[in-house]
Amino acid sequence: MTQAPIISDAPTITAENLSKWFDQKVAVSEFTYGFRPGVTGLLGPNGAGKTTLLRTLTGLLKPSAGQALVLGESIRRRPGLYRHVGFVPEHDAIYESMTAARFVRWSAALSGAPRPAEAAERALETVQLTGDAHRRLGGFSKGMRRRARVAAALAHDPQILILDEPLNGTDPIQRARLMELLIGLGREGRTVIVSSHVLAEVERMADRVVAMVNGRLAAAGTVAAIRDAMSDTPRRVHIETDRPRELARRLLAGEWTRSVEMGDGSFTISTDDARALGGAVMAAAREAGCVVTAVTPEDDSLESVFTYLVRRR
Amino acid sequence: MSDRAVLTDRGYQPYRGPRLGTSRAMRAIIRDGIRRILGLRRKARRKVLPWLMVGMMMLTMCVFLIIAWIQGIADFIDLFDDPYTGFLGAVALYGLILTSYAAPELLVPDRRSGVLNIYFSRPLRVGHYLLAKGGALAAIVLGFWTIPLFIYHLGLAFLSDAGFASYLGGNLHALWRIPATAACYLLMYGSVALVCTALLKRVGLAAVACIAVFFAFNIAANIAVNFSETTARWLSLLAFEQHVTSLRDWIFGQETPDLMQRVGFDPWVSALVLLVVAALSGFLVKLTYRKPV
Repeated sequence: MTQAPIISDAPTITAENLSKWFDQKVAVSEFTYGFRPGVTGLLGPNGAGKTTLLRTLTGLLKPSAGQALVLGESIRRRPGLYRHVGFVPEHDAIYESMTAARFVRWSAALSGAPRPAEAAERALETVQLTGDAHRRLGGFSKGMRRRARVAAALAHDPQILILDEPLNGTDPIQRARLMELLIGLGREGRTVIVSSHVLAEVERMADRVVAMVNGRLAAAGTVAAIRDAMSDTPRRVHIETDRPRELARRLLAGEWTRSVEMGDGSFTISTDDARALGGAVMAAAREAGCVVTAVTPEDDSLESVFTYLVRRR
Repeated sequence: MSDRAVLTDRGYQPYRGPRLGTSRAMRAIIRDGIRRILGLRRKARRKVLPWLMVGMMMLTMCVFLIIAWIQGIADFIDLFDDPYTGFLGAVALYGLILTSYAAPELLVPDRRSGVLNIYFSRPLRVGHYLLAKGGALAAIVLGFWTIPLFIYHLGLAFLSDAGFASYLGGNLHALWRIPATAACYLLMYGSVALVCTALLKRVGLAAVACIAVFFAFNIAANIAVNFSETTARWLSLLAFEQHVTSLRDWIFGQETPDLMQRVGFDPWVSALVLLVVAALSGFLVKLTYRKPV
């Protein structure tokens, strides 16, 4: 008999009209979102309020208004909920004199893991630090420290893992390993929230993204869903064909076409309705007798979407 | 906005087994704190100061016992008004140095290395954290005072002309006097050390400031008593070393120290000062470590 899955895609950590300000400076403003199982990338330019949001969600900061709920309850009122949360702050927070094994064991004991030594061993294995477990953290590279801190956050098997810029300062190999680890944790069904301002990393890791600009929620969802929702921003599609002028002329007749930029053996069309354009390209090509060799959306990447979002604010 | 994630059974089930409570987390902090103060599993230079103080304490105890053995216990007791307060007076500085070092060593590195984020994202409240740190300080300081004192007590019993068992039987009051005195030293030295720790950002600086506070007010009060009674009384309130000495002597049934006699402070004033200092220290430290708002 197969056991029914316990998890659902209901939000495990929720911000409701969450605001946080420091004197005159508003760091997070009326942020409402429910983070679900899987990897969520928290995006935003420097100073967007990502760290403040994460620190408020984890109860390290008290919201100025609104509330942050972990598994439906306020974590500041019920610190016992921290047993289900692992948090990796942005800056190195380690005891340099401790060995990796002792640091992770200590963290596991603080978090209520019943057998801290075993938990630490497992966590170090997960981040591939078993071989260096008995070296002092002070002698670790930045990337290894990060992995040790991730192990410390994972040791008590938390359902929710929150990481603030976890990939900063890591070399490409360590970054790839960490990303694989986080993707794996998300696939298991944990709620993994990763903040970053490196879009390529987030695009690779995250099932969905939450974009913050100036402390506000700018967009949330999958990249495609966000792009679809940006109806006021025309989409740019690059078309390669043997007769670009003929095809472009026919497509210009469509009411959804905003503009066309001609290139050498290709053209780029801006449209308000990518679906309509998709259908029209093939029909127009048949009518004109052109051979279309490529149709490529130019701004469906996370980078383009994010650039639009930042510009709009 | 479409944000529906599609989740099938990914195999992960949140851990639903037992998780240990706050007391276990506090025990982990206490254990780590004791190790940190004593420099265990740390570089050799971290061990020097605490173990030097422990060594000096034990050496002084041995010297006292050797003198008692050479002179005979009766002459030895005559030499000091009381063999216990005499010994405590000789080793008080070691205790002050150890406590002044231990309190900042427990708290300052956590602030400097940013690990408070780790503590406070665990099932602990600020109060639990501070209580556990206080527990580690208490374990070390009480151990530092009581263990050598009980060994000293046993040594005196062993050297006693009346015989080991008779001495122990005749000095049962040592069983409460020793811990009570150790508690006074812990509260007074520990409270001032914690205030210095809360206000200063470096271990060395906080330790030196703590020792300086004890010396400066003690000296100032002793000088002032020769000139102005009012000034001397006020300064004597802050002469913490005199208060703890006064309480120690009171516990062991000895006369109040000279300075306290001259300014007219009975031991109950010293007890009050001790409680006020401890309460203020607790309040100030709690204020400093308030969870960020």
